[in-house]
Amino acid sequence: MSLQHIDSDGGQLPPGAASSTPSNLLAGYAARPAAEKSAFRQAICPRRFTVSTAANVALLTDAQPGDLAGVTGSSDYVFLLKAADPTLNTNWVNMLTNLAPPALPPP
Amino acid sequence: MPLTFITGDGGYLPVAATAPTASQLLTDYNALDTAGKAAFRLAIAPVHHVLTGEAVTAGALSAIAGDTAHDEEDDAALWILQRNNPALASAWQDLISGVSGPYNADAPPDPGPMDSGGLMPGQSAPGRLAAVWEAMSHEQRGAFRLAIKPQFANAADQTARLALTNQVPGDYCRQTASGLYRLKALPASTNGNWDLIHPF
Repeated sequence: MSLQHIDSDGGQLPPGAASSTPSNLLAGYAARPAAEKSAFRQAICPRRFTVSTAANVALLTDAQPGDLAGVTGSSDYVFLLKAADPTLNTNWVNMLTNLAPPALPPP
Repeated sequence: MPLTFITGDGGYLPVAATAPTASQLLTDYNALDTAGKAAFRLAIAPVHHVLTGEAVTAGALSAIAGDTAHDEEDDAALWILQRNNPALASAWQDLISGVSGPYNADAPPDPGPMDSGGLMPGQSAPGRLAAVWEAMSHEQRGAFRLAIKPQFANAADQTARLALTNQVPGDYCRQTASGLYRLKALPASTNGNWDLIHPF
């Protein structure tokens, strides 16, 4: 891979060994104009879901780490998904209480 | 640049023709050392906006997606911006109650919901980084999000919070009998670098 390819890509993508900075990823982000930064930030922005009961956060199969969830009609919950599997209740934590939601009852 | 490089990586990652997956972004991130990861997390960390009696849709107009805000004169709400238009009521959600932000008569017309890639209608030519994100699968996105997600910690008191290690901007800490904090700058040992985003 020649440096030409790195240069032609603005230096934002690897291979990092040929980079002038220790972090191509960071350099790539930092070098982007504000509109691109905001587009990227929006793309990775945590989402917020609403569920009917606390246990139902385990049904949020589309949730990704960093996503948040609340419970309809309640001000007692701000759940954060800590790990990759949203169906596991212990991967969620209510940041207001430091408690995981209850597990769903067995089907 | 030969097109082979572009088509070889789904059209977005010209130097990744040798990568086994489309997710050079994730590969890059994982290859960073701890300091590099922290620097990237710092660069993309959401910002917390503190308002004083202003509606979030009027007082946090510099916010971008993922940023949070609260009003010092009304601690009931903890807002998160989920779309890149902070003047829009529907772009904000209260993390506590789930309601949308307050109406702002000066806001532009609502362009509608985000697409599945998290982009607003009309953002047909997203930035290169966002385009990379678009090309990633759900699983790849999840892996990257897992790598960069804010961390959550607990602390019994301020001393314990300021003694936390490995915290980077964007991380949360619940301090017993005090509130929910978010780190806004390093070092984490400086109390002024933490925002109290939701007092208990």
